[in-house]
Amino acid sequence: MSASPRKPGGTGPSGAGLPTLDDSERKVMMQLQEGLLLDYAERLEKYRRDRYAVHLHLSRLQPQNRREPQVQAAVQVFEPLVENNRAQVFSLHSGDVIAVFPGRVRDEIEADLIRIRFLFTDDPLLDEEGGRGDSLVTWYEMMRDYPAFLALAQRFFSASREERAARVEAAPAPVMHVFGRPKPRRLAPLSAGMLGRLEEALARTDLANLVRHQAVCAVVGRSTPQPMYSEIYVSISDLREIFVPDVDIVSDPWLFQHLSETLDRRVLSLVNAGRDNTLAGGYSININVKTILSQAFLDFDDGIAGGQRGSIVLEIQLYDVFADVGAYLFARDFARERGYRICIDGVTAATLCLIDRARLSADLVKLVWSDEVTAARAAGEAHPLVRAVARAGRKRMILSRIETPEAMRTGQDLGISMFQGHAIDRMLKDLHP
Amino acid sequence: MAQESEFVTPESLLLDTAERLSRMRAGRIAVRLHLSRLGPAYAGQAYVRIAARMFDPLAAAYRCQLFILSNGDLVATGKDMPFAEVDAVVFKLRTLFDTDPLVHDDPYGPNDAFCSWYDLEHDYDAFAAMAEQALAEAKEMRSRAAPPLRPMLPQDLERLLTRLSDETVLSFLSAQAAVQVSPLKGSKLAFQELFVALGMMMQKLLPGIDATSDRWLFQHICAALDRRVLAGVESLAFRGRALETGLNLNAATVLDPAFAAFVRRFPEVRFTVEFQLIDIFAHYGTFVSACDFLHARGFRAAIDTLSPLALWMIADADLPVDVYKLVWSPHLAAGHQSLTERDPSALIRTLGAERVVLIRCDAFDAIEWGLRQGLSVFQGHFVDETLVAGLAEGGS
Repeated sequence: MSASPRKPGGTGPSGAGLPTLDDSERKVMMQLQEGLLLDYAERLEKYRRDRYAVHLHLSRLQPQNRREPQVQAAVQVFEPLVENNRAQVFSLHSGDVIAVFPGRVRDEIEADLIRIRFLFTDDPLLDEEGGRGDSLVTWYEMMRDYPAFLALAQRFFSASREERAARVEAAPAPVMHVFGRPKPRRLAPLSAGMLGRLEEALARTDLANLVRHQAVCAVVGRSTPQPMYSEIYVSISDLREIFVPDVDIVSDPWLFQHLSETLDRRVLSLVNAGRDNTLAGGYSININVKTILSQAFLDFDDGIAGGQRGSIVLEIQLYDVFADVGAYLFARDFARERGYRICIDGVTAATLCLIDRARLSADLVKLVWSDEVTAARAAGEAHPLVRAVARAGRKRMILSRIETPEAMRTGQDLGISMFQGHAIDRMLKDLHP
Repeated sequence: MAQESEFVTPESLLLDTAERLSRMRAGRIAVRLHLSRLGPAYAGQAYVRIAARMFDPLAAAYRCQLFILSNGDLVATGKDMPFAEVDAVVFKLRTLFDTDPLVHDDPYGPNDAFCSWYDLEHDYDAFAAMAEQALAEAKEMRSRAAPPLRPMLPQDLERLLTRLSDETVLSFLSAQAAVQVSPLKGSKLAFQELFVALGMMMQKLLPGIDATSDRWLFQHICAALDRRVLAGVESLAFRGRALETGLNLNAATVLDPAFAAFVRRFPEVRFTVEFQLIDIFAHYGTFVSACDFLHARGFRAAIDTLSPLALWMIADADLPVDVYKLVWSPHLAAGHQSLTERDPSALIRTLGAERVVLIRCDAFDAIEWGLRQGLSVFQGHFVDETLVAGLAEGGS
């Protein structure tokens, strides 16, 4: 899975590090904390008034104090401020943390710094001096210190870019992960501990930059694709590239599922926060049965205007239905009662033959394209897949992962008229360059 | 006890409200939805939360008050709420919980155990008594409640995995036999199922953590246990006798060389591998290959722990399995689905009774119902207590 970045033109003013990057480099850097810090610092120029920053030099602590739990504990001190959007916190690769905030929360920040110092009381760094401007903390008052702050952000950005370049050179060529393609070698398998650390890091990160849309379109005959709705998802390949480039995150199917569900829940809250204003048309989200039954979904539902629910599709994986059939039936009835539409996702040529859409009582079924679809077209009516498509309802079927126009036409020959995939994205792009 | 009475609970609020309403009975009705009486499939806060949400329109239109009791029951009361509108909500809830026989049992009649209605002008005393009883029951429930388990996190899983060794896992390995009951020929041991007593193992290795709270982490534990069991088991004798042996394994484990090595160590044993539905549908290709592997060796493939609804969902699917393990519950015999497509008797006929094993049989009713459906193999505590002991000692 990959898609173009949401802001292809870039946002920062010219002159500093960011605009000189090519698109793919920019995309990656904009998702690193250092890239975000520089972008933010550049924009801050206009909003210097009553703005402050603190730079926590956690990288100067003794190595035994620089272990992840302590650094995380330090970052977590700021969490209430971040959650209420009262401060912006950047957790840098070196371990340093930078918080930018308006004057009104200065007292809270001072209190937070006391708590953070308490975490590291036995470190010699804190023996040096107390008060402001000690070796652990540097303060910036933007009206006065903005140039120094911008320079600091630029230094971090360059260092991180160089470090990344060195790493890319040392490692085998980065491969965007696509299911089914050979996995890059020498990646460490994902362990439970790594998953935990990754999810903790994700919890502290704004994932808006990793959210992608992909249209589901109706294509009849040779007509142009008509977008029906957009699927919203987090790009797993970009996420891997940014957070765990040396880890094969699909190496353990169960741990990968756990990660996917965590990301799906984040999409739910992002969509809910109304931060995506490109969703005026219909959209779909990936969701599991357990989440539909959770408070998070009820909160999401509260934020949706009644009439809009009919244009929101909840995509549920087929295996999730079978994790607890009773729970699925309950969640489905509840969601449909509220007005949502249900799509069963992740159905393969083999599993389509096993299911009964009427029993699942879903509005839509999403079939993953495979060679089997071509084989079915060649074999005709007798092929079990052809019969299964007819039984499930051709008008309710979406053929997904369409990589070529031929794949789409094969689906059309089977009577399918809704498609999703990179080939469809390209057709749309040609229409609206 | 003074402290106890200061403790604000939904029940104490309900009782306060009931007392206040004694002077304002006119035009008031109340309903109690006994969600706590629903079957185990609907246990948990998630269902209560959604059921409570159905009262939102009444809260908006009539300032209906809703109490979510500690046991999950809902009590709603309001003034001048039209009966039809309240009934519409109750009907919606009956539809949501449609698969539970409770909601079909004498709706609106004297034996309706799902919903109790109170017209406060006439039934005030009953309503007040209900509120008092709810308070007493909640106190009793609190005093008995075990400390809640914390949901498992990936970090907990990592700690658990470092504490797992072949020896630890094997010390929690247990076996349960299934019995073939034949009214004419008597009974005999059919097979044994090996399983790891996970609850006990968790209590020892990671107390306070609920290993089943996250199904993906749980599946990862299962896969780790698969490997330990295959590596460590030295004997498969059931109380000194050779028996066909059922193993709970991930589909991927069956294709692992460790499984082939394991079955080579026990050439005299016929194996049945029991798969979980979620594993089957998450990795269907792997599952099919695993079944092929088993069938090529004369072994059997089974689907474990099927609820009646899951059985209905897959009854027509042509899965390459030999055995369907259906979980017994009194709901199976309740008959409320007898004329619907979910009728378990009809589903068993579709699959073939000889392929269905009734598991978790905890009462004689299970065996009686199963025999009427043409089933002959049974597993569960009731079977252990009444049949297995004698058969294991005395022979078939």
